[in-house]
Amino acid sequence: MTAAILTLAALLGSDAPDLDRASSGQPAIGLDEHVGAPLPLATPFVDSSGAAVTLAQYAGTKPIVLVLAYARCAMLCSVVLHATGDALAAGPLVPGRDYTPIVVSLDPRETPDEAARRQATLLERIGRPGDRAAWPYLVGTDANIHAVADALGFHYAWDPRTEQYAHPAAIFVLTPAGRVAEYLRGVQFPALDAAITRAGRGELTPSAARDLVACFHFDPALRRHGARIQLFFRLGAGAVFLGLASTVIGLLVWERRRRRRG
Amino acid sequence: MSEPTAPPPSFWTEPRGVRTWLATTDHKRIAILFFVGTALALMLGGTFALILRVELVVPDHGIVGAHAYDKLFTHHGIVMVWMFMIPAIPGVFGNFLVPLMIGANELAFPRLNRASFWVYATGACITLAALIGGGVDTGWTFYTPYSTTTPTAVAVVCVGVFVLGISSVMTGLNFIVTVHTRRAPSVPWMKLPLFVWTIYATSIILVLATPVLGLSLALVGADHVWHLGLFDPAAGGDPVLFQHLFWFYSHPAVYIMVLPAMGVVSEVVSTFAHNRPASYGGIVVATIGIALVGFFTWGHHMFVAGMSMFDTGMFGALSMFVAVFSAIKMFAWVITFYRGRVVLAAPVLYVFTFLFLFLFGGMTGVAVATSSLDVHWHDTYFIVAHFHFIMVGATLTAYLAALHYWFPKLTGRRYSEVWARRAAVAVALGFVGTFLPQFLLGNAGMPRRYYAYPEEWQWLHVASTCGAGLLALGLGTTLVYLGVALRRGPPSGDDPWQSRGFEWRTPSPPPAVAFSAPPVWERDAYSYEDEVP
Repeated sequence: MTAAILTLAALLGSDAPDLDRASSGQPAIGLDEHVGAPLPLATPFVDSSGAAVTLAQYAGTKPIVLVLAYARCAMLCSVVLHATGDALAAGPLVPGRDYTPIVVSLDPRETPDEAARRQATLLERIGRPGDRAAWPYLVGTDANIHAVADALGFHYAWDPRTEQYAHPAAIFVLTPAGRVAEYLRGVQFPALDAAITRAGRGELTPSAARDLVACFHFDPALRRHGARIQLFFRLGAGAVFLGLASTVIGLLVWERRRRRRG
Repeated sequence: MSEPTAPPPSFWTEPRGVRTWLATTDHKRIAILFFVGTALALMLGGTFALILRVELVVPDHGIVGAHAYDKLFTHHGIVMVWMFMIPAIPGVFGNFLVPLMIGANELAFPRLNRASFWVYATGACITLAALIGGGVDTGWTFYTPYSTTTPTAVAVVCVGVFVLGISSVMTGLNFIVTVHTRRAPSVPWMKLPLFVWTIYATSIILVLATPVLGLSLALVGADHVWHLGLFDPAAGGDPVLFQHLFWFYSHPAVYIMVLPAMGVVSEVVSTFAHNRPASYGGIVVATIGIALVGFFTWGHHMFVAGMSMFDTGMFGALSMFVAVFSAIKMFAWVITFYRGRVVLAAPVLYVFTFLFLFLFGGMTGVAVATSSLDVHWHDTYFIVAHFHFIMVGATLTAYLAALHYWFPKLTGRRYSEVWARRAAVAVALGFVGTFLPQFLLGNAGMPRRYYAYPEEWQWLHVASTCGAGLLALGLGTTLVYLGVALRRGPPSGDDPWQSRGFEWRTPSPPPAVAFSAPPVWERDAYSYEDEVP
């Protein structure tokens, strides 16, 4: 039995933001497909070197592979990023030349330094160590991250109890003009090259299946009884202490009297 | 050594009558009562184990069904842990020897000692009544929320184990006060025999940790009866909290079992090597260190139950710290043997087995304290084999070493050394034969607590069952020749092993009152300097 359960919840037909589990303690997350919708390219971000950038700087001529993740994520973000990196490195297409992969951090607390450290491991994974332009990693304000996420139909939520973002596991392929071309769901992306090629031609491809994998460490235990159990143990500890102390003192006195009597 | 020509009336015969035994406050007689109780528990728990092993000879349904199997492994665990291994060495040898080793005629509270045995007997009867009257299928760990919802007799067993816990606390409290207040003037702290140190350290754990178990089981029992949902996520409870509470006691409980075993080993090694322990101070520090650090390692049972990386790392590192203290003892024993003049007798054979099981079990303990490895081995036979090696194997072999070493002290008679050696070899081979295949099974993925398994693992299960049969044969043989020796064994003399231990400086068996005046022991309990060049 574990209290914290990773919800690899494959929910068929979850097109709407329908993972509303707030009533059971699980944050609402979901993925609306906005295929064809334009991204707010002018939204300002900061890259891993600390420079101010916009998504527009990366759009224009090449398709974009966009990943929303965050460095402190303890669950699937690393899996998604590594799978993206592996898919990028495996195909004939070259990042930077044929398309632009970008990570946008979900976490507004993330600093450019943290971004740079995370980015370094990703660049090593795709065989381009030190080449920051090969896979930019952007951080931004909460409002700006939400602006991009909302345009993608990517619904995520901060869970203060577990101190993590609950969010879908998926990556996005954009046309060179910055429109949403395709959603790739899950944690493995074998069709990434084909999707990039289609997006490069301006094709828009809605998903056939709408399964959703959630990246969230679900903890079902609300711990409503914690305070009561703590009180029970405090009272119990007090009772045990008093019981033992009175036993020792009482017996010592009794034994001493017994000896005196001979 | 002196041959007793006209032995003084021993505690066995004086005073006479069954009632004097049942109402006794003599620590030596209470030790014998504990021996009877714990030996019966060992036989009962062993019988449950044998049925389990016979069931597992075939990959699917054998002699018992799935639910009966669940109950059997639960009963095996409950009987072995709380009725045999926790009380065995402190209750029997602690009771008998601690006063003799510190120059006292009785424990600090003789009546409390008598009560501790009868409370033990009451707790055992309640628990056994529940096991016979319906049984429990939760495993000895009572994990929630299943333990609060199963229709089996959880609440009554919780009451039984709670009462057994009260007995433990009474015993521990008595030993602590005894060591503080009843030492003869010639036995200062740093002249205490090492066995007394381990009983003292164990008593601290018993008094501090057992109430946590009692309170936790009280909550589980109450939850089972009144459906409070204290640990049930569906009712807003946290099942992992129960695991924390349970293991806060139950991991230190391992040291309740193993520390006295280590004390036995220290005594046997020194006596049969005819040599002072290589580092008395080191062993004392390691004893106290294990008792204290043991309180901060419980989390390693929950690496896969939801725990932060920091907690995982800390619990893993602290668990490994126990291995450092254990290694100090291990090296001390080996060096004591190496520099000594070893007499190869049955207790030494058991100590050799102890050392092997303790080393192997301890090293696998370090392995499973590594969280990444634990993910693979968690809840598999690897864990079952690991804790049987370190907890059961070490405790059982030390218990048998103690039984053989101090048998002349307890009875004034000698047993058949030939049969004792044969049985010691059978126990060693049987134990390793039982659990070595289980390490392999666990590593291959066999989960614990399953009564069925894929056919390709059958040969390992059959090997394990053969080992269990050999182990049972060894233990059965021991029962027979010790029973014969008790009736017809030749007189042993007061000190048949030429030990310098304090307990051997009284007649064997001791009279009801061992010391007419506080003894003056000028030489300590390990003064073999005149023997070893």
